[in-house]
Amino acid sequence: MLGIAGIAVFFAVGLVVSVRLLGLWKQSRRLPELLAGLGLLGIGPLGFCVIMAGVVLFAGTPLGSVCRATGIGLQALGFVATAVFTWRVFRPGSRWARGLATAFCVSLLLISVACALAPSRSGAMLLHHHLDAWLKIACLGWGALESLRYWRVTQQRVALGLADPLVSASFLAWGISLGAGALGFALIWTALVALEPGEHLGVGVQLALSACGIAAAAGLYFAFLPPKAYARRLASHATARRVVV
Amino acid sequence: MADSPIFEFVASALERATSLGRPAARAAVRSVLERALFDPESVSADQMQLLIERLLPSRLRGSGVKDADRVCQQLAAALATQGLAADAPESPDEIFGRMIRR
Repeated sequence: MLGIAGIAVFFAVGLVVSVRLLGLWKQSRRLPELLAGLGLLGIGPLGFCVIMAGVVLFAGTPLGSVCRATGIGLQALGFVATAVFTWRVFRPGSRWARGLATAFCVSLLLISVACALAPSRSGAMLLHHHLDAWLKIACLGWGALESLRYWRVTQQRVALGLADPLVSASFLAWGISLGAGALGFALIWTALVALEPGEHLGVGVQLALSACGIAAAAGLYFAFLPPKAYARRLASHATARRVVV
Repeated sequence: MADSPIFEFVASALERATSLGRPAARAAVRSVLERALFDPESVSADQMQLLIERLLPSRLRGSGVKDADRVCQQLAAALATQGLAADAPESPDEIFGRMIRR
């Protein structure tokens, strides 16, 4: 329950933010809004809830397997959207970034098919489960690094009065959110590798997972739904620190 | 990659408006771009306008250009009338700026 609390907060905030982003996409028809909205929805609330519905409501039935496979597919699509978002937003002209995003997309989709069709019977992780976990960690980690790198660039521009401090801070918040997600997946993978089949997650791991969920939720909130007082504080802070040229 | 038409326009206009030669005019524009971490290949007209207003005057004064503020005002006005667009996709700032609830 401890681990679920923080992750539930992340799903709630993720659902609100993704619905809002998809609403923006409906008006503007711009790709980044669609990718961010689908990414959040697929990785978080939608993919996970469909998987959990199979486990909790339809365990041991054919519908349970269908839910599991569908949830895995939805989550994979969420990660694909996130990889393409990172490429298109932060490195749209880069050939290596296009190659990396393509590699993520192909690998994630192929491995999600393997995970959906060949689940572990004994509870032990198989090779494709390890690959799936590390691809997801790498996908989120890449997005976090790109966003944090760009945040550093915009910090210099904010100091010169050339960039919006609220937009700059949103890169930091998005980077923290993706980084917390990557850390959460790494924690789950580590715990699953260490556990014996049938053994439950320890309290420490659950608390750490909960903290990752809360950090990811806070990052999303400050990135896309910043409170007005926070925006005012950033603006006054930027004015005070502006370099005179 | 080749420098953007925006960079080329501003550097040429600066060369004509001052006693700076072509290499010095281009170096001046390039140095303000580098200071703000923009690329000459992808800088947008809006970004260049800000650079001309905020950074270029002091850079020109440092190069001995007289009446640098007036020169920069003229450059900014000339750039605004050109309607030039960088051959570059949207910047991350523009994308996140749209997605933030204000």
